[in-house]
Amino acid sequence: MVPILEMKNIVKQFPGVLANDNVNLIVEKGSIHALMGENGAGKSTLMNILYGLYAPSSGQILFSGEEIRIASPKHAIEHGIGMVHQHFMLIPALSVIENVILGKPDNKKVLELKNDAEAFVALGARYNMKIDPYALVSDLTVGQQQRVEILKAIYRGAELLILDEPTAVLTPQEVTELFKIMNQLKEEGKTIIFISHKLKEVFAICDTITVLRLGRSQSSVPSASTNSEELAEMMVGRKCFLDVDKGPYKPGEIVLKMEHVFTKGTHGALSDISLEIKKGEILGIAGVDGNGQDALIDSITGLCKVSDGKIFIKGNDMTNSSPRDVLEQKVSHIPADRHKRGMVSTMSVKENMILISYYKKPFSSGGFLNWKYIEKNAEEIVESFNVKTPGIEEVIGKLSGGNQQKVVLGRELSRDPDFVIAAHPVRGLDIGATEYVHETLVAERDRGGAVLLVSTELDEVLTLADRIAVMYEGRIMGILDKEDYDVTRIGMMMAGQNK
Amino acid sequence: MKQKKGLIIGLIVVLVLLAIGIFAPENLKNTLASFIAQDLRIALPLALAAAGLVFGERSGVLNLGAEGLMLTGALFTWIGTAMFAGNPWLGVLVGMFASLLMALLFAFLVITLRSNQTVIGVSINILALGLTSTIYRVVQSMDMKIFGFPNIADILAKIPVLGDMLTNMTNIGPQLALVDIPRIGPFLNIIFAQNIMIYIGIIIIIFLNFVLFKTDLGLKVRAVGEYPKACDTMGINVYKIRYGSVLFSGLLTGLAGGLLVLDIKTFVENVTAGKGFIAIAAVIFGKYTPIGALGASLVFGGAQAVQYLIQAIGLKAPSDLMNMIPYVVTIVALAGFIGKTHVPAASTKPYVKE
Ligand SMILES: Nc1ncnc2c1ncn2[C@@H]1O[C@H](COP(=O)(O)OP(=O)(O)OP(=O)(O)O)[C@@H](O)[C@H]1O
Ligand SMILES: [Mg+2]
Repeated sequence: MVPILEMKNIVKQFPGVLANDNVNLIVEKGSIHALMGENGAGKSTLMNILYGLYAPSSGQILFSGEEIRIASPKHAIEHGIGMVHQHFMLIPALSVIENVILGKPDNKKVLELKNDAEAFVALGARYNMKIDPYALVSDLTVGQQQRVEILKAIYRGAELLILDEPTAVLTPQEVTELFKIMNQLKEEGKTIIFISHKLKEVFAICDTITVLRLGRSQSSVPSASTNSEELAEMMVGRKCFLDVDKGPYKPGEIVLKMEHVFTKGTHGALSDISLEIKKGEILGIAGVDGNGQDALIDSITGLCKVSDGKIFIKGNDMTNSSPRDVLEQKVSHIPADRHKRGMVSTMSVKENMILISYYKKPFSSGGFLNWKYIEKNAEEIVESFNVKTPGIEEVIGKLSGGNQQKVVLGRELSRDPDFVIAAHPVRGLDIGATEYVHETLVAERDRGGAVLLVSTELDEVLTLADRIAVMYEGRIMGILDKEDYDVTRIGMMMAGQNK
Repeated sequence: MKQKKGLIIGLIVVLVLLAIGIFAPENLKNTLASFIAQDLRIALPLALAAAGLVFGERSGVLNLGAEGLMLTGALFTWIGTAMFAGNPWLGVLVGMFASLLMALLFAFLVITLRSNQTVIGVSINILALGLTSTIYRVVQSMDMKIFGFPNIADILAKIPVLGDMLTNMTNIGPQLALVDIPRIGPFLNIIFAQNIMIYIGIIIIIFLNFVLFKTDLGLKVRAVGEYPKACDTMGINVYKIRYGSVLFSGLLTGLAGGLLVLDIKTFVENVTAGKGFIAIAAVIFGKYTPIGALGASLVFGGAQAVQYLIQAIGLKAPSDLMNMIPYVVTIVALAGFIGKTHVPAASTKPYVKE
């Protein structure tokens, strides 16, 4: 049978970066095909070429055996290619149905929203998805938005669906839902290209796996004939240790102490939070996204007001202190949303490296920046955190998602912190980088730092944390010691039930 | 939901006015009616300019050069009308075309060359002020003959059969027949006996509201101003939509400028005197919808009409203070309003296609 898609010798040269270097990809009709590789390996670039967003420097694309030229997304959609991007392409201020039909060439001049909404609801029902077509996209959860994206592509006649890291922002339950939908699409004969950094997911759902490495296609293998270790080695080029080695648990004095903390707000406000973190310990916060994790971090870092209760850092009362005063206590913060809070996308890598410390010696003196030192420091962080960038002058927004995260990590962890707050620190990172971040956090702990790890990935919390606090609707359902780790029990607590 | 709220407010205002028209004493009725007539006359150019600017803003382009475009439209409408023997229709077309050219310059600079919209907008205003003043000095000595737009009654009277039913002939020309309605007739007559352009303008604005919210084109315009990159992935040509919206707003601001000149039947330097900026304020106050902009313009126009009202009542107040009223109302309205309305997310941000 002719493969539905064949990409031959695709080359894409960005200024200073060869993102795709003679990539070959063959995808069979009716299969789920995984595309894997390190951050910056060129996966998104390859898919953006297929979807007509980037023009390839050279190469050929065959669709159902025929050579086609995809000059714009319009052509891609006409050929039945749909894409769900790493960053969603939905317009928050418009309703679901308006987003779905936006720019559809067969729209009537005067829109018939009602007809479209009915057809859309019917399509959703086929995949067991219930979405109010008149709801504003800004009112939907991330998981719902993704379902809208998928349905949108199918509604517009996609036969080949590209999903670029769809699971990075989903809760475990939502991932299960997504896989159900993907399998159903496959049964209907549709083809899916699935990008993910998570080996478990890829083995669970994909038929074939293609690995990209440094812009080149490594190999394509049926997922049944390979295993995690082999795949990891193909991606990174060396053996990876998928487990982390931790030193013995030797908690020291208290670094963070929260006493009956409350915050105000509509949803996810804290209510009666008490916890402490000691030197040499990682406290994991488990919970479904949106259950107060953000408010917890914001109340500690001074980004939101505490309405009642006290917060002490290293014995000092830091309740409602300014963010700078908190950071001055040698607190490092790796924020959940790097685009909003971790970086300034239009500034260079080196400028992003000093966002926190620019006013301090030796980064500046007498109000003047000391660029020599700043550059040296930036080079060192890029080197030791293995950031893939053409240079420290590059605008950070142009780096691949994973590499942006590495810049933020590098900046925060190179400040020699006593207390690290890490929110979803490996979101979007490849396995090599994930391994690195986990090792770094554990090293922080082993050398006597305190770590607050917020993650929606239960696996991550279970392997790294010395104690786990489960959050539900702004409250702590319970704090478990290592001996009491029990996935079912934690799952129940995450759903708001204790015992 | 929000649209409904505006509709209800409008309905209540109309009902109150009708009640006053029926039950109030004669001189109060007359003052109020002429206040409303004034308000409509002042508000309409603002509203038309604002309705055009809504399209530009919705597509993500803030045109601070609106004042300049209006001024250009005003001067060339004046010249055009004179060129075509006082014909206001052809004159206004000339004005709109001139304003369109200015809008094209603006669009090229901010969309294609991606220059800063604020800087270019302000520059367009300076350019237009200089240009119109210079041209005006050259042509002012020419003998300019200007007729305004015909009154609605004149037009209705010309319709066969129906015309006789809708209008009465008097010795100063045709008059709307609704003046004969008992009690409220004269009151309504003062309000409705407007020039035809006011009617056309209101129809245009309602039509534009429909286009923006109910048509495929309107959806594209709204989407492009929110998240152009997403539109690109849906196969929409962002540049085309933005050019179209800015040029269209140029046509309407030009028309608005023309109406100012045809209203006072002459051109003076800087005849717009900040009306372009008030139109921009009306866009925001009207929540980026054409009908909302009309409502906002009526508020701002009312602030100016109050001056005439105060004179009519016979109150004595310094005229400089009176002249300030519309501007003060604009500032107060905006200050109380900003932050409460959703500004198109990509407003003033140039779009770079990879
Ligand atoms: N628009 C652009 N301009 C310049 N360089 C770019 C651009 N887009 C991507 N790159 C570079 O191309 C390389 C490949 O990036 P790409 O986004 O395809 O990686 P990826 O495999 O999707 O990584 P991730 O897993 O982090 O998403 C990176 O080095 C990146 O910095
Ligand atoms: Mg990517």
